[in-house]
Amino acid sequence: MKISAKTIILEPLAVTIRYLFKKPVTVQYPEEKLEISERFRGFLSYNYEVCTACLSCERNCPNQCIKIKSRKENKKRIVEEFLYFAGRCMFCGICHDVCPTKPKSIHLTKNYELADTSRESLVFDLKKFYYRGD
Amino acid sequence: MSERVLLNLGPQHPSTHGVLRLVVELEGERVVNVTPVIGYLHRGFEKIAENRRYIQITPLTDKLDYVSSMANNMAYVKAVEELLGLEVPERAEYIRVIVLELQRIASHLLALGSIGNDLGMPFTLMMYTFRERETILDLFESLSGARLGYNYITIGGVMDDLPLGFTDFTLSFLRELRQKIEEYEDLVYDNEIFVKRTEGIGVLSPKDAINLGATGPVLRGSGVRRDIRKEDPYSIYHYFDWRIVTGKRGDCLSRISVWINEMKMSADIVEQAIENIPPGLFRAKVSRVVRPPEGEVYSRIESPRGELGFHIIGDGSTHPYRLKIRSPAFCNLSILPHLAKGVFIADLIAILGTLDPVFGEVDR
Amino acid sequence: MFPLNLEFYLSLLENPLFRGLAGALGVITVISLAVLILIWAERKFVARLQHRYGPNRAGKYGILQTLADGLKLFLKEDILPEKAEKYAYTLAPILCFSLAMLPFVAVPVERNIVVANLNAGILFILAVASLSIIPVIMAGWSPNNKYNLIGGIRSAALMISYEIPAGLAVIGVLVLSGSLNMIDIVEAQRDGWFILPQFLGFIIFITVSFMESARPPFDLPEAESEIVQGWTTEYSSVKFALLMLGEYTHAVFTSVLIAILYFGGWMGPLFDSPFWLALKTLVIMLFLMWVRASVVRIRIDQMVSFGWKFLIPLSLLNILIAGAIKVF
Repeated sequence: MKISAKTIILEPLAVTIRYLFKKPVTVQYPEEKLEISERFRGFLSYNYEVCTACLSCERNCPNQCIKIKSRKENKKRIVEEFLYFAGRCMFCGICHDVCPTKPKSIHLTKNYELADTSRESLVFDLKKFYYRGD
Repeated sequence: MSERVLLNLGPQHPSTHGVLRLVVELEGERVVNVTPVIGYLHRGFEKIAENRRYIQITPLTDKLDYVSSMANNMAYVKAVEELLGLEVPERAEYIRVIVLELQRIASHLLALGSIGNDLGMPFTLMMYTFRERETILDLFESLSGARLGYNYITIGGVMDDLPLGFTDFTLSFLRELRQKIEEYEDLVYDNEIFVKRTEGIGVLSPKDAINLGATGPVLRGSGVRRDIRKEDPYSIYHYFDWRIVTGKRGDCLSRISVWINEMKMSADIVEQAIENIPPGLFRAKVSRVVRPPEGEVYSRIESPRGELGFHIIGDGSTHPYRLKIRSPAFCNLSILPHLAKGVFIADLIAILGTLDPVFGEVDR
Repeated sequence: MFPLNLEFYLSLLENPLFRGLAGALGVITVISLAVLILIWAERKFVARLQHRYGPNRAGKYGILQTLADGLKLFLKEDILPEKAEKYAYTLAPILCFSLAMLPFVAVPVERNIVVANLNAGILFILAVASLSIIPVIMAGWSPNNKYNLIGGIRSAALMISYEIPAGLAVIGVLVLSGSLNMIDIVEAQRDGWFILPQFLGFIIFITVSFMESARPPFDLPEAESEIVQGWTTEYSSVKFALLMLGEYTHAVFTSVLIAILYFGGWMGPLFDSPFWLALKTLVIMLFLMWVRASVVRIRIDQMVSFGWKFLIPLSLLNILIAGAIKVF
């Protein structure tokens, strides 16, 4: 059995001891937070003034997270209620991708701290959300 | 003394890489027979896909092999583009290659960290490799907006163009990666106990590998030179100068060396792609409602685990008629009973680690 | 009720029974405290080697983490598997903890401070250290569970590989010191610590100490990645805490033994004091932790063949070297 002291023990020890003197890489959440990029896909934000209620986002969402109630008023459709089921959403960004208006009516913000205590509290009416100035 | 004991390495276990149940027949400490029981992560993906439009299936494919999402996206999107007969702009192809090769590096880093965990070095190798993987995930976040389920490669190209500073950051990261790979090689090859635990264990002969349907690092670790990127080239891999990486003996150490060397080769490809990327469109014009003509297609790519294939039968409507996935981890996992005859339990775990299963893909 | 004169209490101090009890109590308190602090030190040190912080939420720098974990374990439900052997199952943790503490009564911390000054001190210590395999096998067999059984049997296989080299390596030290008494062994190192003439013996003994306390790379009995928790799988709550503490105490004990046999015990550059013994034990424990973070686990057949084919011939060679040094 060929055994050499260098490989059996000394090399791995030499590799690990170097890290004793470096600063650890872990990020201490919630005191420190990771930097988020500009394109991060988080919670939805909806601008009902630009929206034309074409219902593309509702039809193309893979998890059926969006429910829109709209009515017709002098040849324009306006939106009455925009229900967003955040509990079902997987933040894929397809609703943003298929929106036909310029500028787009749906954006994904950088908010990812969405934990809450009950499932019902994760249903948002984004028309009222916007109206409140959030 | 030759009494057979049935041991159940149950679905909850610190080191089967996910939910896998192994029913092991033991004689003393030697394994006589092992039966994998899978299906604990089955989510009915193929059935769900029959009720969704083509564009809605793309984010669902992310969640198949959640460790290398870009590869899944690419396989599916390539199949749909073949059905549609769509031509993808060249800049998009370059970006796709960069992203796919970076994903390969990330996936192999995870596999390397996990094998260190399984063999008994708690978290040391894993922390080091995950540190590099974090940088790649940050790159992908700046590109697509998410860290694990990207939904970036779409029908017609990619979702968004490269942000500013991406190429410089990637090049500096790759320089650092090469130094860190040397460190991993020290911890793996120069560590005598690691070598003794993996050399000569789970030897897969080339003939068996081909007959049993292994692909990816498992096949190349046995010395067979087959890689879909050279055999059935897709995208623009033929523009670049690279070689297929193989191992020598077909044992666990060869498979681990295939991972490490493939990382270096992928780093080469990414550097070449970044140097030669042309300007242009990043996405072809596709109608918002994707309605491919009637037809059927099987398209495959080389994912970090092997050959990932999508078989789509379209019937002219907006929903596919049938979607079938050929998953590499599933086919590689079926080799386990053949490899595990007469080894110790400790070796069984090592062999399972080098087969690199990810259960999102095995169970779908 | 109690006589209040001074002579009674002074006579108590001479009473051997009283001295024995007080010594035992002292050993238990000091060692338990040391183990608690060392467990915290291990978690922080190994974490730093892995480029991360250790526990740092429970108390400043995570000092209270061990206490928090102990409290959690105490509050858990105490289970008794249906088909288990009741008495062996309950007795094993108690035996493990007490047998791990027992050798400490013969270990001197200074020339005049020892609980039991035995003339055949080293023999007693080695014998009692070998007894520590009994609770492990009991814990492996009694819960009627396959994971436990595999861990217990592996532990027994481990033991037959390391016992002989351990004894032989110590014989090298005994040849050089000329006496079995622990205090004499340390005093014989006045002219030079035994590590220099006995370097080979030191290497053998430190390898054996890894095997004896089931520390990585020889931690097969509780190989977490293969057999869940090994020989302690079916244990929970207080019994589990006792088993874990007993194992860790065993690791501390082997470090103390190495410090005494090879590094000169309590002798320091300027003065002798138990402080030097503690410091040397700490350094050796840090080395054990360092190795834990860097190497993978060895396999059982490789380990048995390593013990028999490699360690025993080397330790026989070591005895020859010691004899040669003594003669010349």
